[in-house]
Amino acid sequence: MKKLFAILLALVMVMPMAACGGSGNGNAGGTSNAGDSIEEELYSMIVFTKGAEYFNWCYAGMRDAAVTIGSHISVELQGPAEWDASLEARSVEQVLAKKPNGVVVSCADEATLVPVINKAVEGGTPVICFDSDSPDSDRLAYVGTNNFDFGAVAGKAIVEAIGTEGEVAIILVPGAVSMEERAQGCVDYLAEHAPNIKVSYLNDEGDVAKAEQVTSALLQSNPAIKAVFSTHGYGAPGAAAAARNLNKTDDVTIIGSDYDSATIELLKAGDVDGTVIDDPYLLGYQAFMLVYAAAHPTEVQSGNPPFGHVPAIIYGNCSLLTGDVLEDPAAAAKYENPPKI
Amino acid sequence: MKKKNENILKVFSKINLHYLVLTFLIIVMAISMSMHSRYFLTITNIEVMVNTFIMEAIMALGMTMVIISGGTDISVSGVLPFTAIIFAKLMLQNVPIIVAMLVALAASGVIGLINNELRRILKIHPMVVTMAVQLTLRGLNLAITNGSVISGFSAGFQKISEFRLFGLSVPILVYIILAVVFYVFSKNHKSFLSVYFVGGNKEASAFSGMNTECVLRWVFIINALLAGLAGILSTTVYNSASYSFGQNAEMRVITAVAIGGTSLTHGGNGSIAGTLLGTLFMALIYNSFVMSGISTYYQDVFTGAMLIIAVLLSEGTRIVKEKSFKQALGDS
Repeated sequence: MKKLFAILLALVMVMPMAACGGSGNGNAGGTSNAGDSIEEELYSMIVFTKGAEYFNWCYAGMRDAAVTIGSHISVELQGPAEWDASLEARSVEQVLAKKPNGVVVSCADEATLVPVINKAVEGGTPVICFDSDSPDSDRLAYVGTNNFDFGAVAGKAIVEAIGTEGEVAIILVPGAVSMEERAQGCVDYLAEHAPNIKVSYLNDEGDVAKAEQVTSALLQSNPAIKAVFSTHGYGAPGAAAAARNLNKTDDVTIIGSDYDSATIELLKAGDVDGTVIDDPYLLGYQAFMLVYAAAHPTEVQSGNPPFGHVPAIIYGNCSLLTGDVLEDPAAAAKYENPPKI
Repeated sequence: MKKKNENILKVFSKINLHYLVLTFLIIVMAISMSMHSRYFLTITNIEVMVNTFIMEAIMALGMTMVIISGGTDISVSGVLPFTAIIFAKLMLQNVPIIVAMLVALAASGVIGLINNELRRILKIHPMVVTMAVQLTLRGLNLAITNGSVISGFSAGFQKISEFRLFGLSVPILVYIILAVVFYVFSKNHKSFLSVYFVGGNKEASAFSGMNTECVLRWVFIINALLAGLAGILSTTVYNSASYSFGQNAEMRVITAVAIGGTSLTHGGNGSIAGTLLGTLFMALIYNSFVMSGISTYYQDVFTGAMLIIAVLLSEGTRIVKEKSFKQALGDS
């Protein structure tokens, strides 16, 4: 009993020391040289479902952008592992307490982060939204994809695959602005080019297992479904699993959004027919450049004083990634080697 | 040697080793973090640290009673968003705020009653029953909201999140009042003490004339009410209500209670004071990871390790106290 107590006491003493010994998630470079008078700066990226490969790409872009500015810039990635907007809001609050020079955030939903973003901006911390916006907040800019165009790319791929007749299911998480816009973009394209196609919606709560469940249920109850479009990255693997389990891989066209290791493998195997992609690395890169510009006003007149001038919206390109593209070794090398965070 | 061991047992039975270690850890971490970050011991960060874990802290008060009574309640992570959604929907219908709160709280109380009645009638362990209720509520929350976030409240409602009294936000004020009430009751009121008896030995309590089912009924109702209150407060803080609120909250709450020394395996053991310490410890961990910039991937690893240590310490303390009690009976 005494030995056990001694070991336990040693453990509880060591652990908090270990917790305080670490450095940040990603310094842009080494320490400043002796005599260097440049002040250290910290920029935080806050996401939901932290750990998702998509956001790792975004963070890699931000990290590389910070390197181009200088070694006095530190960046970090924060946020909950869950898709819980209230937890993400708390993460933003915690980050703000250590007075970062700027924050870039992808919002779990459009409404819940409004108070904390407004508080940040009011307190002098520039906030840039990327990927998933909070348009009613006081964020200075949004870097993302025109989600309507994004959805239209999916709509085009669906029409090319199934023709102008049939039924299509769209997977989304209601309330997530980017997904709703992608869904609407797809619906608008179908309405214009294939008005006879019927559309139904599935909510998978942003979870791959749930995506499999809801897609299975739909495919079993409605054999007329010819295509499934997932408006977020986790839906296509789930839908592909559902189609595979029901032996409908050749009967149902699956179009995903974004890419990660799982989706890349499914594209190569032919279980997913295509995925609409933007460039998360570039989104992260641009988001950092904007927040840095906002934190460093110049003589250029700004629309958001006292912050530096930034354009209100920057949209990136989107395109369709298919298994054919991955046959090119150079393309495969990029998509099959996600950044290690 | 035997006399020496007896003396050691007497000493350990008098001091609460668990609280001692927990307090020591909190102090060590606070000192370490204040040396690591100049922002740690600021008023802003302390307020943020408290606010980050305040909903779980409120729920932990009720969960302490449930676990002391020998059960557990996993449905809190479903009750929180459920109540938030009902409250938000009523506010959007321009129902007076007090009425909306009471209706939403009543709904959460009904969930607590359902939890207890299912446990009593089906004679199934509360964990299983409340898990089923949690899953049901998750689906219900999605169905009611169609997966969308509820927002768009009046400007007056949005002012609630800005209200401060002595610099304290509404959730913190509510928590302080609840913590004081629960602490005082746990020390003095026979109703709370009866929870210990029921958790320690339900059959013996019944034989002694105690209405054990009444005790358990109120334990589950109060726990659900507190989860509902956390949901209402979440709506005022975030100016929105979503089915996604409170994910995995039950794990954070139970962990805080267990780290505070309440035994998960043996009813009748634990205290509100311990829960207050455990909650503070969890809030400190969450804040320390963000402050220090260490990847929050390791946060759960650390929390899980602390939970294991806490359980071992708690069980060790209980065994020592039992030995000491048996020793005392043997001596007399």
